[in-house]
This record gives sequence, structure tokens and C-alpha cells, in this order.
Amino acid sequence: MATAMEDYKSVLASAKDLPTLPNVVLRLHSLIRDPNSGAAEIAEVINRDVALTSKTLRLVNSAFYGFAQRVDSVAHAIVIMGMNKVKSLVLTASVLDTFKNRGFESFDYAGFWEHAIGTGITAEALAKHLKSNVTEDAFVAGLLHDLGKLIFCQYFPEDHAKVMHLINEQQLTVSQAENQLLGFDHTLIGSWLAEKWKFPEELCLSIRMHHEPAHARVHRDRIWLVHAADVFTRALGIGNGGDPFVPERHRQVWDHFQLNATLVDTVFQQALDGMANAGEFLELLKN
Amino acid sequence: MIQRISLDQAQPGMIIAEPILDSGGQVLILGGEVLSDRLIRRLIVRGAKEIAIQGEEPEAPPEVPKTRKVKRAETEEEIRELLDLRFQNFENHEIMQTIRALAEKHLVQKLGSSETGDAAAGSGSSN
Ligand SMILES: [Fe+2]
Ligand SMILES: [Fe+2]
Repeated sequence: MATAMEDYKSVLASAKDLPTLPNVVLRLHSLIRDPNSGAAEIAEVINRDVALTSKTLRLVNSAFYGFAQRVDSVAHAIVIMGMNKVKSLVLTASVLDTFKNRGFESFDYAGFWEHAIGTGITAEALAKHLKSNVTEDAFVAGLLHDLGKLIFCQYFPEDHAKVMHLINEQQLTVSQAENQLLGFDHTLIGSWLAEKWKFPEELCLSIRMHHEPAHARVHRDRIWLVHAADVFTRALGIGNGGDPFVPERHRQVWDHFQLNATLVDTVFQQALDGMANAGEFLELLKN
Repeated sequence: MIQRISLDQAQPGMIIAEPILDSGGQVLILGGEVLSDRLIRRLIVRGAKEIAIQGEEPEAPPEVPKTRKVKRAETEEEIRELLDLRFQNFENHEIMQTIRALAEKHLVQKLGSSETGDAAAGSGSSN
């Protein structure tokens, strides 16, 4: 169905009100890759955006991290959390801020974000246990994996309604219903936005491939982490994934990470504990 | 045309015409679904009494549906019911059943702890 895809592309290409991210975020991606840039320089770039700095510090100081002392500057946060983690929180704060108050009548907005935050927490917990080298990015990758669903319901409300019907009538998952109707799903729409935002390739791909992990050729660890975290979050029923079903985990992913009951048990506990302390993330969507 | 019948008259194969809410006003079913034995049992468990079904003449398509709100389980039984639905395609699937059993364990535990007055910030919003 190339036509539906082309329609979608042109609607989004001409949409004037697509969410945007502040320049700081773009600068951060390149700064962090540059081996010559130091913590002071990175802190300075973040500090220039006063509103974003204060939102980032709200997350740093939230119950989720539970630091004994108040962290009152980006520089301090970098010392205790590391550059990558702070970058990931800046990105998180800016995405939540961009989407604040963009909910729609026909969409369970709070449920969507709970699912997103839950997947971020789970991806990060899993990454830590697997001693993955992408731990700091795992949260953001999980947070953003279903971004396309938000764009879909806002810009294509009629198709969104049809998808909801398909889910109910035929007991399909969101992705199956979208594929049946359109020939593609929210992973493609989300990856378009991620590209527009000039996100690094690995982040674009973890959005794009989370429902077809077996097709991943590069950045597998990240994509597979997000896939597994999505399944786990759905299994626990954290938030609203858009349909009441758990998507099937791919055997390859399970084998690759050598997942087992003990590990899943621990990750489940951390996911639920994390959600109990994640109130501040959801607050950023409100003010 | 739409007919209202009590749930004990419901038969598999009938088509649900209107959203069904539970006592708390949460949407259980959006409408358009074909009744099955399993679904009827589920509705009985949730305390639905009367349902609207489609008669011979099919109606115009239902209104734009909302994303299903997620029902929060309030009892162990509801936890299991929601897990049944979530894992309905994986009844004989070993790994998925392992995941399910662990999820059940944690959700039941969490239910126990939230009954003792713990207001979980993250999951306490509109769902
Ligand atoms: Fe998805
Ligand atoms: Fe998801």
C-alpha cells in the first residue's frame, strides 16, 4: 500500500505543528560524541536553556533517583550521574515538555506515557543486568519507542478510529491492526519523527524495529532491549499499550540475552518499584 | 436495530452494539465485538447486567471509539482475568507462560502492598 504511505508522508511533511525539540538537544548529541568536549562545556550548553535545565533538575531530584542531597546544578548532576545519563535526562525532559498538554479526547494520553516510561525503566533495568554498554541510552530508547502512536492519533484520527475497531473486533495488537489497514505501523511513523529530530541512528532504529527485532542488522542490542522491555511492560500491564495483548517475544532475543526466570523476576520488581517513584516524569507532561 | 437484553439471555455469536461499562464507569467493551462464551463469562464476573446487541438490521458503524482505557485490577481475580486476556495467544507457550506467572506473582504482591496504603505515584493516574 504505497499510496497510504505516501499520503502519510506528505501530510506530515506539510504539518506545521509537528512537535519540535529545543536546539540544545541537537547540540548535545554531537557534543557528547566529540571526545574533545568536556563536562564543563556540556553543562554550559545545557544551562543556556533555563527552562529545560530546571526541568532536568526536577527529574534528577525526583524520588526516582532518591539522592540524599539536593542536586542544584547541571555540573553537579554530571559529576554524580555521568555525562550520558544527564544527556538522556535532558532529552527526556525536553520530549515530555514538548508533548505536554498535547493529549486528545480519543486517546488515553496518561496511559500512553505510563507505558512509555515503564518501557524506559524496564529497558534500563534490563540493560544494567545484562551489563550492556548502552545502559544510559536504554531509558530514552524505551521512552520513545511508541512515539508514532501519538502522531498517528493526532494527524490521522479516522485511521486511528479504524485501528481501534480492528483491535476490538479481531483481537489484534496495535501493530497488527495498523499493518492490516495501512501496510505499515506506528514504528515507521515514529522513526520519521525521530529522523526529523535528527536523533542518532541507533535511536531511530530502536523505534523503527521494536516489533520486528529479528530483522535488525545493526544496533541489535538496543533494538532488542526495547523489544524485550516492551513485552515485559505489557506483561505487567503498566500503562496503556493501545491493546490488551502482550506481543510475542522473539525467541532470538530471549536466547541472545540468555533471559531466564530469575532475571525476569528481578527486572519485574525493579520496573514496578521504578513506576512507584516515577511521578515526576508524568508531572512534566502537565507543567 | 439495537435490542437490550439481560446478560443471562446472551448467546455466543451476538454482536455487542454499545459500550459496556463496569460499575466504576470504566469501559469493558467498546461495542462491535462478537459475543463468545468466554466474553459472556467475563462480563458476568465484572458485574455487567444488561447489554445492547445488534438485531437483524445492522446499524451504521458505531461512533469513533476511544483508546480502551486500561482497567486497573483491584482484586487477585481481576489480575488473573486481565492476564488471561493479555496472554490469550500463548496458552501453550512455555516462555510466555513463565513471564505470565512472574507477572502474576508481582502484581498480586503489589496489590497486597497498595492495600496497606501505599499511593503508587506512577500508576495512580487516569487508569
Ligand atoms: Fe509499539
Ligand atoms: Fe510499546
